Amino acid sequence: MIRATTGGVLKSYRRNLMNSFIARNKAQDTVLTQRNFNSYAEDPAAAARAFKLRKARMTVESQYSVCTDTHKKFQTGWTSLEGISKLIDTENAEPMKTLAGTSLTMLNDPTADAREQLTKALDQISQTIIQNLNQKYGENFIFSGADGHNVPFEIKDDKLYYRGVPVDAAVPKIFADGNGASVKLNANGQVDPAGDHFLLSTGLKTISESAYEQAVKNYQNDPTGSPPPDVLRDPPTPPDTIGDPHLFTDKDGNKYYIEKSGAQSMTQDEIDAATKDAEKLKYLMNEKQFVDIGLGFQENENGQLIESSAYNAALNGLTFIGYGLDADGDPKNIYSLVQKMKEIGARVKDGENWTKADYDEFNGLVKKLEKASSEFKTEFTNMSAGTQKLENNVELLEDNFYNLQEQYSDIEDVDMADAITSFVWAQYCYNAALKVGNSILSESLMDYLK
Amino acid sequence: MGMIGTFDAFTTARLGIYAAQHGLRVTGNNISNINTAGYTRQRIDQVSLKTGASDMYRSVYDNHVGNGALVTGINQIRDPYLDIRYRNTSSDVGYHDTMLDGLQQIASILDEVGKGENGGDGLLYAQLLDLSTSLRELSKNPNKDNDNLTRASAEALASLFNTYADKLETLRKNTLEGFEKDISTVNEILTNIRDLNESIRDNELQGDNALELRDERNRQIDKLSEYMHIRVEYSMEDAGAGKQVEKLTIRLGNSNPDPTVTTDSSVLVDGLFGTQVSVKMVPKANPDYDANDPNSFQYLKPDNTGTNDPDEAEQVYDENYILQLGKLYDRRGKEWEGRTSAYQELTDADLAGFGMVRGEKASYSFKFTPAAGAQWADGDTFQIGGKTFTIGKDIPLGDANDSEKMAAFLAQNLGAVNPNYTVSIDKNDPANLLFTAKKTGKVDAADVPKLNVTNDPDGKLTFGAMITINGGKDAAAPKFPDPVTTNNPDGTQTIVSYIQSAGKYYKVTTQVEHTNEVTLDDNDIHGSLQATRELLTEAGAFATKDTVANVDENAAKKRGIPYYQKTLDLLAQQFAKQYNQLNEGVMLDQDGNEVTSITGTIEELKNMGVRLNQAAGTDGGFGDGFYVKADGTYMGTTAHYPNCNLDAAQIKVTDTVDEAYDKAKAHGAIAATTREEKIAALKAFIKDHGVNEDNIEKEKVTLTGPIEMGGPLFSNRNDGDDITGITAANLSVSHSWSIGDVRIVPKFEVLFDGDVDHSTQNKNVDHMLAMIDKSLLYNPQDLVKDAVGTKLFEGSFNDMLSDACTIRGNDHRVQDIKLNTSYTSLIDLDTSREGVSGVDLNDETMNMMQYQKAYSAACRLMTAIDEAIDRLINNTGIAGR
Repeated sequence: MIRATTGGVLKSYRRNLMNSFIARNKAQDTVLTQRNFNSYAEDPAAAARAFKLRKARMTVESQYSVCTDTHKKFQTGWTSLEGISKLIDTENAEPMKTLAGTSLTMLNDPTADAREQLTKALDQISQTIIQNLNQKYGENFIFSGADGHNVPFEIKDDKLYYRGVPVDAAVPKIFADGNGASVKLNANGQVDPAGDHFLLSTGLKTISESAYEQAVKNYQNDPTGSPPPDVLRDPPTPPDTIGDPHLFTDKDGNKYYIEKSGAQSMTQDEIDAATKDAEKLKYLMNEKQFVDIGLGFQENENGQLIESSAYNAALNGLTFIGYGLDADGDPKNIYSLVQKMKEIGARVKDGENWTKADYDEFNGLVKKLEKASSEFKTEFTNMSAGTQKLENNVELLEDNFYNLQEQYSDIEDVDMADAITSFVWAQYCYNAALKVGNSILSESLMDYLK
Repeated sequence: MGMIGTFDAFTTARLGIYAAQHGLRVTGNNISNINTAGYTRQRIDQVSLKTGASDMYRSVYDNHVGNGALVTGINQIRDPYLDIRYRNTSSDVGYHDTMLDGLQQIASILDEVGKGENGGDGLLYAQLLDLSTSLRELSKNPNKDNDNLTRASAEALASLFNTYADKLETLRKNTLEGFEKDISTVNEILTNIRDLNESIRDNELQGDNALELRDERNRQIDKLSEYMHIRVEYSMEDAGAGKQVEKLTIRLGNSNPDPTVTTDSSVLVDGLFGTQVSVKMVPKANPDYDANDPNSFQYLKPDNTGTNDPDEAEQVYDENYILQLGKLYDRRGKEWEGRTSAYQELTDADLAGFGMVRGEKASYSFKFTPAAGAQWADGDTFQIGGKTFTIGKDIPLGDANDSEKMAAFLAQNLGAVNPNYTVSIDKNDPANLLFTAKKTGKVDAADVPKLNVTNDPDGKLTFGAMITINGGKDAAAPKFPDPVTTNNPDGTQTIVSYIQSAGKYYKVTTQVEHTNEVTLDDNDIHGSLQATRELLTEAGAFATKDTVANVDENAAKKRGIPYYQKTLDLLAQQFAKQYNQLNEGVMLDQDGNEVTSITGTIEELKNMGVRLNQAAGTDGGFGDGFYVKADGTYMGTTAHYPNCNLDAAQIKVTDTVDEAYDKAKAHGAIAATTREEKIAALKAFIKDHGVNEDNIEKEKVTLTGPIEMGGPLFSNRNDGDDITGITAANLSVSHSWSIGDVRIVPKFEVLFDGDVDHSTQNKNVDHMLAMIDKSLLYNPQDLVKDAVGTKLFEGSFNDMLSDACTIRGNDHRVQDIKLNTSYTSLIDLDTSREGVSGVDLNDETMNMMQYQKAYSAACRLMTAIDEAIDRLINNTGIAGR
């Protein structure tokens, strides 16, 4: 510059003073807001990164909340199941305390004087099991699958219902003869094509033609012996009063009779209702309720959740205590088994001996109860593993959360030491600029004229 | 040694005093104006005066001494090159500063860094979080209260969108107002410069440099350069009478990168003429115009009625705010003209065509034929026109007897007798005397030349008869037609006229050029005016293909307020679309098949999300609060209240009030006359006949499939369910949702005809929750049909807003850096200009001292001279006295 003029120097000074003041102000803002930037424009890349991290943190926070909630629900559920586990402990033979102990005592009670008590105890324990399964966590029922608002288990007329569906529901197996045709019974339990009851194959007891005829002969020869089993008969043709026994033929041509005692039948409506109930149970058993606990929660292009990316938080009570019927037509459900045992127990009076049939049936049920208890324990163990998994995940999410918090804090939050040093320096520069200004304004050759 | 003037030295001293005084005055003026904006420091032009340097009789011994100092003028010191650079940079600063200011204002609306709760997650994000919290509650328990809670959150979110859109629109309007104000300021500056040009020219013609006016003009030009990129040229023009004056021309600065565009160097000011800037006006287009409909109008008049006449239509700004330059006018309103003339000399034939006759001079001859043998003698006399001539005295005898010489003598003297003729000797025949008339024109017989010579008897002065060579001819001037003006197709005019100059005739063909209005191209200007235009018009990826093809090929990369408005609109539209879609469908069973029939109370069905319409309060129906079946009859009447007469009345929601009332009247409704009375009567009738308004929700109904669930949650108006054309400005919670007819559908599945509940598995609400973070594609063409961009962004709602903020932040940063760069350059240039043109106190103090000393010295000189002359006058020549 060839000339530095008064106006030029003053302009330049004003500008630099303003710059200095702006720098000081900015440093002050940084100290006061404790943020590295206050708008996207100050650092677009950092702002965008911070935004993503905040979002990720929020997501993790939400996952953490869901996971913690689910974990607590599982923990509470675990405690309930732990209680049930004690009640069905097959190792504990103590009567009145466990199902196994009580039922075995009933079976092997030499005096049979506490059978009534024991039957009541069985009922009480089964009631307790159901009560445990109706536990709530917060406002929701724990073991109600995806219907947390409603009590999952209800007992009506000694029958157990899960979410309004009888737990012993199964698709009725309709009996088919050798030609594959169903067999209808009339209101009197007689084989009658005009009847409206279908014979079911569940629990059927058959007797071969020869064995039945031999039993009839034996009875005719010795009326004091065991009578032949009562079998399904055709409708009587007058003057007959009881009708002829109905002879069935299997597909191999073998002829046999069906004992009346095990024969069960259902009308079409009853079959439909039972089928529907079975379908309901099947649906409910497959029902899942997925939650996002940070496993990569994602929906496919059709808006369907990818199941592996979420956690199934539904706890279905039936998983633990069983449902439906086995091949013998006996319930698989613990409560129903106990109810059935209770029925048998009620048939045998105190002090009386078991009939063989009752004893066998009761014994069979005890074994089935053992099996159901064993399945309960398997599911309980699975559930414990799930609870542990949730616990681990909670810790993982916690770490994740703090990690993200730290990351965005690194981007957004200022290093106070650095910020204060910068501010002090900016203040110093500004003060210096003010001082310089004082000198600029006072000095000129004009001041030296006399 | 030459003469020395006694008092010359006084003049020298006086001029010295004058010069110093001028210097002091200029110094004083500089000091006074040290703080005047735009002031250029002045200095005097001073020369040494020397008179008589080229005396005709200058002696070699003569030593000329100068006569002192002469102030020839006062000048200002400027560097034109610095001015050009300053003004170029100034337009850059104007552009970036305005753009940055606009982006800053957008930031104050959209930039949410540090805003909101949770340590500054942003307001929109916070509201979306609030919505997700409400949805989570709804997912846990989908009842009316939680639906209301979610709706309140959605209303707050919609209101947030509305607020953003409203603020952006206000910003756009304010920017438009600023744009109009800027144009007005630019026009004021252009007028000022034009008028200053005239004042400066007038002053210059009077010999004044008009420095202060030039300062003001420079200041105005500097101001203009902030608004647009300009090129300033100085040239000399003829002011008449050979006087040359300076002419200032300002053009646009050739900013358009497109080499085929020439409008970017249009003239803004040309000496005494200046233009004005305006925004192009176009007829207001009818948004509902259908080219295939003959009854549809293309434009709208000010009263909003249609017209096809563009002149009759309301005139509105062009959508791209294209600028126009008006014609060049001087301060008196005279339009600029450029004239070029071609001169063609007319031939005689041409002139004859205009009736011109050239005058001829008459000429006659007389043959001098002295008689053979006749001789003059000394002393002989003869007379010409009464004057006597003597041989030997007036003419030597020998010459008198020589016929040729005598003829020449006679010719010399016959002129006096014939003053209208010039008498000469015929070169081919020396004895032949030629008489040529002095003036052109026909000569009457009386005016022919006369010899008037006394003849002697010997025939020595005998002449032949007068021969008429030319009787003379009168001249006739050409009769030219009035000038003829022809208008040419290119807008110029051709004027044909005829003139006579220096005795010659010319045909003058003048081409007259006029200035035209210039419609500027999109990128012709640069500076704050262009930045404001871009803020007002640029829509980035939302720019139409037509705009890119015909207005600015880079339009897709430029982002102004419309870009952010449309980004927000697209976000709002996407948000509404996704949630509306999620909330609409039909009831499905556990296997995913459509449910064919469902029974439940209105309340139960509504909680499921089944769509139940209320009678609309429009002319199609007669009031809210009553639910209708799919066929339009009022629901719940026969099932719950078997004795109800409503079915007999068959009132339908589609009935008009009058129709419904007539039906009701026939079944016992109370008498009514006015519409309001009829509505009241109808409501009373419906209530009286079984529909209990208070318990209507408890009524049990059976609906048959397909059972429509849900309905629009968001619409373009709070009082309707129209989901078309949703923008950030109009995004509203739909009317049906707000009155509870539509609820959020928690799930579309109903298990086993409702026998099995799944109260906490509200999949649809979960979808809605997931939607908040779902990655979606944002396509500008969804908003602007022929937009140039097809993918603006892909991400969640929040990411989309964050992306817009990042883009704005980047634009902001780029502009900030550019502004800093250009501003630093401008400051450097300003400092440099200040260095050249600014006033420095030290400088001026030095000048002051210098001129003060010079003044004192000149005064002292005068005293010295006075004393010297005093010695000469009063004390010289008295020796010995």
